[in-house]
Amino acid sequence: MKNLILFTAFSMISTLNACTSTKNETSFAYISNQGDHTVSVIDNAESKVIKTVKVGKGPVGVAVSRALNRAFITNVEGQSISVIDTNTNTVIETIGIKGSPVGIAITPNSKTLYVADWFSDRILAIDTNNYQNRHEVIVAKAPAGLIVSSDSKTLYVAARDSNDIAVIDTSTFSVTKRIPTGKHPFGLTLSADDKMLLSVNVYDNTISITNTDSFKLETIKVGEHPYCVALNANNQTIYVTNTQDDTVSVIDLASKKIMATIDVGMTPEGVSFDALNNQVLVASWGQNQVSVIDAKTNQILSSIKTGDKSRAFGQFILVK
Amino acid sequence: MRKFLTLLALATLSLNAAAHGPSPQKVEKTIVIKAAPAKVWAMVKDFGNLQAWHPAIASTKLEKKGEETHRTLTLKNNGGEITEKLRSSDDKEMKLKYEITGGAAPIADYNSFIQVTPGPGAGESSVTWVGRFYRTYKLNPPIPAGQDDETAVKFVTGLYDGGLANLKKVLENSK
Repeated sequence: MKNLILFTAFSMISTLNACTSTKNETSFAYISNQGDHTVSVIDNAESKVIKTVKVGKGPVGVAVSRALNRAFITNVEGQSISVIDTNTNTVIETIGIKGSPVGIAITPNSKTLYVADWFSDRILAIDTNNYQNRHEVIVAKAPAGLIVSSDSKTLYVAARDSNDIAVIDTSTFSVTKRIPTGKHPFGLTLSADDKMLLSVNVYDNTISITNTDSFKLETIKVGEHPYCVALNANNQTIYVTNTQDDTVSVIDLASKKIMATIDVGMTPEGVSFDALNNQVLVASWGQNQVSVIDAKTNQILSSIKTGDKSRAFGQFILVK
Repeated sequence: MRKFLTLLALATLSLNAAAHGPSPQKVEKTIVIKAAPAKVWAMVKDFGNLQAWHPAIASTKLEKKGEETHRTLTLKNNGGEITEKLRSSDDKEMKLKYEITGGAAPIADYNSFIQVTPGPGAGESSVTWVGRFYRTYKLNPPIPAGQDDETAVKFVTGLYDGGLANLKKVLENSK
């Protein structure tokens, strides 16, 4: 019996070790602050802003690349993209964009940056080796959220004013399909296996779950004016920011039921899952903060003061 | 106040259904009133009587459209009309949510709440008015004067400052 207890104790310790220290990875959040033209860099394990980086005017969208050690920020009012070196957390280059860049995503192979140009109805493809090497395609009215499949072959574009999602073949850079959604799709995300596309419908107060093989669609009711959606690491739980309820809806994917509605700061926008620390980060535009939710208990762990009008639109967590 | 009315007079119609601007704007104002929260809330929640405390409003017409409650505000000095929809009125939270649906204001996609909270002192109330909205110009820069963020923010700031100051005056003088 004593042996068994000892054995249990040992295995518990080794399990703990396995969770915390084998990979030596750390995760950081890059939070765009529209009102003071900065990006707050958060050490997620510490729940602390470690650096505030001055970027262009009206930063919104965020894309990060571990392979390139870069964070890319769209400055919609400044008509540019700030390129941040994530080793030094300084802006090393500013790419001019003639238009209104909002949504941004990078291919998982880090070769191409996609930028949604809000008023010009187009998507720009920018070569990360040479920012002047660009292509563009007209997609739909008011392109917003972007997400790329893990094989880098498919780009999904939420077309806010067309009420659909454009599916783009990245090899030909052309639209291959349009998936009708609810009213005003905005933020979107993909499951790790690429089988499920999640998108919010701002005017319907719903999210759409689209099967990426059959294109069959399911709808779940959420809160008022949802903006962004994130999925946890094992594809079981969905998190949705409800901008006009000041809440996050937590949805169990299997049962499609709302498990919790969490009060966060005023006007929550960007949301990402921090797998390393099993927590959810929510940027609060109205509160100038990031709310950290414990993914296990659905309780608020902390509220981190950021800059003015935090948005963090896109995949804003970088693992190093 | 005169500035505010001038702005109203200059205001352009913003009923465009196309994409709003890319950067939402915010105005948040709080005032402390020497009156009990219940009394303040009673005045704030009266959706059909904004002219009772807002100095820029000449009259309010309340309308039921099915389940929905709407109002048409007629502005003083021939400032035109603004139509609004009540989103919710919560007696427990003492919070009223509404949105602008049309009319003469140099703003787009405006939604707002007013909330009454007790304190800071005994017998006092704090009233917070928060608005989120966009500029009216819906194309790439350059942004014409009068349709920019600055104009929109100035308009809402005038609306809130003028309204809250007079709400305080009306309530504190009616003991």
